[in-house]
Amino acid sequence: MTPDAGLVAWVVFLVLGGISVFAAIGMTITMSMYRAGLALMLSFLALAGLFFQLGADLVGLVQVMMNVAGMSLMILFMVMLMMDPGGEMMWDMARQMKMRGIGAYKMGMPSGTLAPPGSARDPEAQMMVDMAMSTGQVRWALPISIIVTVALAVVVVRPIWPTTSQAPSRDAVTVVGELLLSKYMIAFEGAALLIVSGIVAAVMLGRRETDDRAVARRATPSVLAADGPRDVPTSERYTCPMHPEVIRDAPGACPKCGMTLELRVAPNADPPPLVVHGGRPDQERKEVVMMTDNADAKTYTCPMHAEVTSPSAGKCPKCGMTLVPKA
Amino acid sequence: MTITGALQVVVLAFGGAALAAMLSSWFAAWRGLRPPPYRMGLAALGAPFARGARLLTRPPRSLAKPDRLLWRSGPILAASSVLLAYAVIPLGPGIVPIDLGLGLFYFIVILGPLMVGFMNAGWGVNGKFDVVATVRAAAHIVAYEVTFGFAVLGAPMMAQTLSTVGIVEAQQRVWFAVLQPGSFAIYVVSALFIAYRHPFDLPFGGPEIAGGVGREYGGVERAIFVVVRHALLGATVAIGVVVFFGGWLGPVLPAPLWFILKAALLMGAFTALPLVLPRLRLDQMLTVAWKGLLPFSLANIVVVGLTTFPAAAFGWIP
Repeated sequence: MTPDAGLVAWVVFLVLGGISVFAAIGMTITMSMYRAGLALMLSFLALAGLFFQLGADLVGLVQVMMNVAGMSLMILFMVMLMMDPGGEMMWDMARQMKMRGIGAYKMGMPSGTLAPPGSARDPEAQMMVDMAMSTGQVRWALPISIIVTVALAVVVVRPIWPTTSQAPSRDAVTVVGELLLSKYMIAFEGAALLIVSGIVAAVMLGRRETDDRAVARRATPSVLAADGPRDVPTSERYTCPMHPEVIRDAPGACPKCGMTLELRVAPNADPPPLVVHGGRPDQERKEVVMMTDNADAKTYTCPMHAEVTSPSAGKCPKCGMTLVPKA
Repeated sequence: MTITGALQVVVLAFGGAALAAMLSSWFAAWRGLRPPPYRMGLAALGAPFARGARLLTRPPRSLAKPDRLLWRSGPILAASSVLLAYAVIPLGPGIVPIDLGLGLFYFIVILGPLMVGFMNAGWGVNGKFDVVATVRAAAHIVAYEVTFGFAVLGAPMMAQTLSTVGIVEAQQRVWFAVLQPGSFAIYVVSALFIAYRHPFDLPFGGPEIAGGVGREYGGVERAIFVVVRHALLGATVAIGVVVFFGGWLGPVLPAPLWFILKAALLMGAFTALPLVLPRLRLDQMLTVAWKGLLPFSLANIVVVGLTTFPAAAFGWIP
């Protein structure tokens, strides 16, 4: 007995639709950004399956290509730009699997307000507050999403959709190609132009300052502003990382090894401010407090050369040792 | 797909993988990574099988803190993707698992999930080097997909069809490698990208990331991963033969034999490249892809379009 074609179509539709919906739900409730990207990809791939079921091969394949490459790109940017694409800090992906419940508001997370400094709140809970998904916005997001869902359902169910008895075109590529280059040519080329200008704008905005001179110009004032004795003339500030005897007054390549010359920091320049990436907020705060404590009206001296004093921490100009606070 | 079609896919995939593995092993021996050929002789050709047998007898590995779902999904995703790609490879007239109207486009699209499998295999390990390998894998797909598409686009422009069978039949008179040398050059580079072969094997890149994607697998999973990588080269070479070397077309010999002969020669050229080329750094790889290949392939489309008119006038293409 052959199964009824209509029944098979229904089963395929329900399976693909179910995958699509549940993958979308999975995307919103997982704590791992990588998994979220993959879940979104799966959701769109199930939609591509629906296109195939409807006989729209070309649209389905385009859907697969765009979403696999697009979501991979998204994951790529997540991994590159986020401190914590795995969820819950420090690349540790094993933990988020143990969370209970469905939905961010059921994960036993604290409310979205930041604890006042010094309060005895669990630092781990505090850490989770800092993540976007556990903020107090949930109580707004929930009714809004319910309203939108109902509105969309009405829009889908209410109208009488046109039906056609025509079979889908076997040669969709030719049809689509001819439409793109005749009826929709302006729209097609316009979209292309828009995307290209968007890419160019993004590149211009995201461009790093690679011009050595521009970097040097910006770095110079802070070097000059450093207090204390300076044993390097301001005109000779570029040195090779491998050959300290090579000193030039302009950026360029080392004559000995060809490496790019680096800006030489004056011995008494302030150490760069410590930025702790990915650490817990309370730790970061402590670091900052420590630094301001140290800089507070103390003088520094070299353990070997008592005549060297400096108002800020740094290296001894004579022997290069780290200066210590004067008792 | 019929049962014979499915059988053809499996046989072709494993055959391609075996051929790629044997050739790689042969050339690796020449390069001095393994005992040299004058000592191993033809035994070098058997080395991959010995390696496979050794892997299959080992137990699978478990890790301290993997993202288990992703890690286990890696080989499965990669293997199914490669097998699906073989479904449109025509071995001879009428000997094709599925003659899709969109065959060539389908081939490009279906290799996307493979890369997701590689990414999952890297990310799921939950290790630092593997994250680097994952990023490289993700950068890889973006770098090759567009240029590979443009490289093989010349064939449907001349053949007036995307079907792999139709493209082969359009080369009755002249191979597209002759009519479109530019497209072929782009194909060679981007095929090495797709197959993660030597100058562009960054996600698997050797010692500097401790073996890269898939390094933590053991036993059967590792065997699958190795076979997938070699079968991938087989698929890429097969589509190259279809698009540029007239597939099964040739005098005297039976059609499938011609196809296999051409594929073996092309694969030999690809696997010999490690002898003469150093591996590229990630930034060099991206420079090659974005600043070199992409503009070149765009210009090439125009050239192919202009070539179409005289080619049609001389009757070289239908």
